[in-house]
Amino acid sequence: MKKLLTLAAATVASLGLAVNAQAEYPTGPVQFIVPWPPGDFEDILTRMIAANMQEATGIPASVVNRPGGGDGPFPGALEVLDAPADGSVVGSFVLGVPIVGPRIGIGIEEDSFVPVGIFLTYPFVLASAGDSGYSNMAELAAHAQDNDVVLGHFGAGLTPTKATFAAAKLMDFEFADDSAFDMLDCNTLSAGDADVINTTLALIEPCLDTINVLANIGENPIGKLDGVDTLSAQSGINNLELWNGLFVTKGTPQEVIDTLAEVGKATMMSDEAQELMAATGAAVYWQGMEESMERIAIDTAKDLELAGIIAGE
Amino acid sequence: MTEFRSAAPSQTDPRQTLRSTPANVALRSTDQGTGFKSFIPTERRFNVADLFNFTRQRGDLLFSLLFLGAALFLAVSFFGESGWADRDLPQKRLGKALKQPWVGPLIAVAIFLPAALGNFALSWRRARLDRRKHKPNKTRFEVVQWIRAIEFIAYFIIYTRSIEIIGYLFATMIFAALMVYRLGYRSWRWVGIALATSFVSVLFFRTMLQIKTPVNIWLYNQLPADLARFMKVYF
Amino acid sequence: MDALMTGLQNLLEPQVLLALLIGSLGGLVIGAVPGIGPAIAIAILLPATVFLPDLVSLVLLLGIYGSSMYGGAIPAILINTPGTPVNALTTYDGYSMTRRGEGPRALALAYSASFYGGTFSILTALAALMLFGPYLRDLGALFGSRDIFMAAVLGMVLLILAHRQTMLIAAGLFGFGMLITLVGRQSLRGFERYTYGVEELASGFNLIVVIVGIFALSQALFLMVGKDDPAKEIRFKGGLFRGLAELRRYPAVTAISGVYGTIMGIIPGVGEFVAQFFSYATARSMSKKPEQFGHGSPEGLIASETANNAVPAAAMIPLLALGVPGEALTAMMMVVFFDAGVKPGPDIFEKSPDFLFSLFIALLIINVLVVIALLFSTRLIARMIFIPNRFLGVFIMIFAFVGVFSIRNNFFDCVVAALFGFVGYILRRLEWPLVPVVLGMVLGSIMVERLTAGASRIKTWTDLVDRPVSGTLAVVILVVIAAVMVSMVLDHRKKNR
Repeated sequence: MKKLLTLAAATVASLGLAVNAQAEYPTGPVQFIVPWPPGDFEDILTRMIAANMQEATGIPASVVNRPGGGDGPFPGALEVLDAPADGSVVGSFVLGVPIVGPRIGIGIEEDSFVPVGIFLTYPFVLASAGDSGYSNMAELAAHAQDNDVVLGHFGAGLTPTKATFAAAKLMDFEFADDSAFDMLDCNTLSAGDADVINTTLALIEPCLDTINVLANIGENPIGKLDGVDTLSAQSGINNLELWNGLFVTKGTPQEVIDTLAEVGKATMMSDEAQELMAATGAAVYWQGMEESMERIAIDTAKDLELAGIIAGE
Repeated sequence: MTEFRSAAPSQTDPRQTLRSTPANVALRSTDQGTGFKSFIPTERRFNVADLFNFTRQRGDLLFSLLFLGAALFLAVSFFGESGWADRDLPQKRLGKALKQPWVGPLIAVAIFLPAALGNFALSWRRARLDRRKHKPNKTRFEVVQWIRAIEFIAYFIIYTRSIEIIGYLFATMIFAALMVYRLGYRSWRWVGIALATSFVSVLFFRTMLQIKTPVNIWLYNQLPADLARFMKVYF
Repeated sequence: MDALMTGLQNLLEPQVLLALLIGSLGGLVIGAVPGIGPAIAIAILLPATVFLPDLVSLVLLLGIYGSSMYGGAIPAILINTPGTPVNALTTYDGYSMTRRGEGPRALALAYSASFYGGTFSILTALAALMLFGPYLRDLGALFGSRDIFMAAVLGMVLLILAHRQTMLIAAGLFGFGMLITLVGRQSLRGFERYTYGVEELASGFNLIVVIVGIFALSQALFLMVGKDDPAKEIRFKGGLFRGLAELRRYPAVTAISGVYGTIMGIIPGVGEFVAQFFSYATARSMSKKPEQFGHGSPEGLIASETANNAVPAAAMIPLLALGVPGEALTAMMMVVFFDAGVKPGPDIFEKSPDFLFSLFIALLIINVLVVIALLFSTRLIARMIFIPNRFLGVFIMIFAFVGVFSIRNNFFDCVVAALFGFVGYILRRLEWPLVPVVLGMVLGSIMVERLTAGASRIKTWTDLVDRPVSGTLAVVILVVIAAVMVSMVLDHRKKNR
């Protein structure tokens, strides 16, 4: 307990110190670009960061939503790329941007973005209707041998979708067909659009007691759901998860990164953020620059591994 | 379906005001006192059936041709641009074909192209009828009206471009004043009203509601740091 | 019941009440000035309201939406110029009555008819909500992707058929709108459509940008290229109160128009125009004095004003229950809902019941506020009608920039809006309908998205209509098309006889 308090006090104190020592950054308004429509986890948390930054430094910090429509986070990412590398424009990106971005030839290179820190893991799960007859991956695999099972997901390029397909490959079953949806929620299952859906916990919250959660996609099981194992534990694939982090463009001075990291870390440790985690099953934490860079390297390999499994080794 | 137009009043025909009507003729069904007076524009006789009538206006044939041209262009592009080249047919499950990216554009073009074709045919028929009746061809007049609009579109684009350079406040005020002058309101009074209204709008939208405008503004960057920051945030 | 109370309570915050007031009065003025309409105002204010608390921004925009049609009747009746496109029919009878010296009577009739229409549909919606709300989730199980696909197709068919004389044009513009909405790259799904390798096109065309372009900018151009109307004088005497009671004399027309407007509002793709026209035509065929229609028939006035005000609340129903908007303005409100964290769909009654009640109660309050305001301020508003056209055009352009840039903060969108403004300007001059482009974007994207989502369940063609709802809708579509074709053939024969 005492340790926690001292840690909290040190965080706040170091935040104050950092601001006093570096009066240079930020010199002008700071924009955080969230390349998704407002309202989702990364948006809420980034807004918290912006608010704390404004309070700590006195400089206006705001969040700009730059949804790319069907193109996902990439238009927003390109906008951050085009901005000057002085910390006035900061990106809040999912792992797809640094990992998949360089592969699709739109101008993002492997080293275009430098991570300030990773702070969120989305609570993706696999769920099926309560009367489906299977309640974990092994039973699903057995059921799929003789029956048509249809998967609903948010897009084939998304990490959790890839993980699902790779898991199916390893567990030796096949989905009869699959579809990309704009929205996957309780209604998708009850209206019969899909048998198994790959969605975030928040979207199926209202009917959580009437459906079966087969697995969650990530490194650790979600506290809220007991009796549900991770997909990697049940199928043998790696534990790649969908995360979100703060990024700046290559060439941004280190002091910018440090200042942002202070604010980001303090925000994630705050009560509000932790409450969000407890309520929704999202994982909220802070991994600093070096840790994040290592993680990106590891996750790139994991992503390629999943793609390899899907393609047939 | 008629989008609205302003009626043009005729001020020369004295029969067309109520003032010539004797006061004791009961025109109203309720006693409302002295009633209501106004200049009455040219009388328009109409039937209800006319509401549903559509007559082709000037320039219709030309635009129908352009419309058809666009439809053809997009239809031809379909084969390259919609993912048709990567199609995966035939499929045992119909669904696997339906979820491919070219399905949407196929439906759209299948509606667009025949409709544009049919419309052009009808417009051609109408034009032929008009020619037979020796109605004057006013297409050139219409095209001139279209070109006149391009001037204002250009002003709009210049305005939006200039915001990045001189900032939202100045760009808007200068735009408002110049446009109002260009449109013929040449007195100081009108220009003043334009400046005042645009200033209030900037205050309302940018300063109060903080709507997003470009952040990196050349003019503000020339100012000393504190003033630059203030202007960037509030104007 | 709790939800009703909570919904009501949420409305009674001072900020919300202020927004209600501003929205209603603002909407009145916006509707009354010919040249700006609710579409323009909502498109422009929408991005700005992201910063306000959800209910406040929603109520503000609702106020504009609900009250603009009241305001639009004023110039329609007094100077034969509809304040909003939706008031077009009001000019025919309303203005004729003005010429007879019955201006105040026409206004009073219009207000009371509008009030009746609006209130009727709101109360119907509220009743439906309270009766069926809890069952909506089970009802929702009937509405899967294939069913909503069919609903969107029905909307398209009805929209096109409603443009009786311009069906081919409406269809072509609809197809165009649908194609526009499909442009873009979908990195997560791994394809691009119609981007021609141009990077700016990768994020596609945004609905609001197109709406601002095709409605607002085109109107601005129209006003600027045209002439100002010479100053007119309106002297206005006589009270409005007495006229309000006159509605009682025409119970049949009023009631039927109210029902028409509500039903047409619920059916997606139909909207105020069609509701008005059908209601007007029916009233004329039922009337004992049909020759008066178009020349100052109070029944005609009532028919059109009741129907068009009944549509907004009713159009909310398919939007909230299925996520399929009933018409163009409602489609824009959909964006507001998303921003407020309310996701339309059968789950909505479970997830946010108090929001629903707040919505409809707010609409009710708006209607009341507006009528009260109108009784006292009509004279003042009548004066505002005379802002010179070209001056107005300049400011529409300025406000249009605000709306467009705030959405995605890029310059390309401004160019897109300008282009659509130019195209819309030409469409206006040619008297071609503008609405099919917008509904093509909205319904078209719903159709394609739902088809893609439901595709995995479709093994053969029959799977598409194998469900109770989609099957019924498919039959309805065929019946409607057949009926219209038959009536067109009959009309043709009649003309040639």
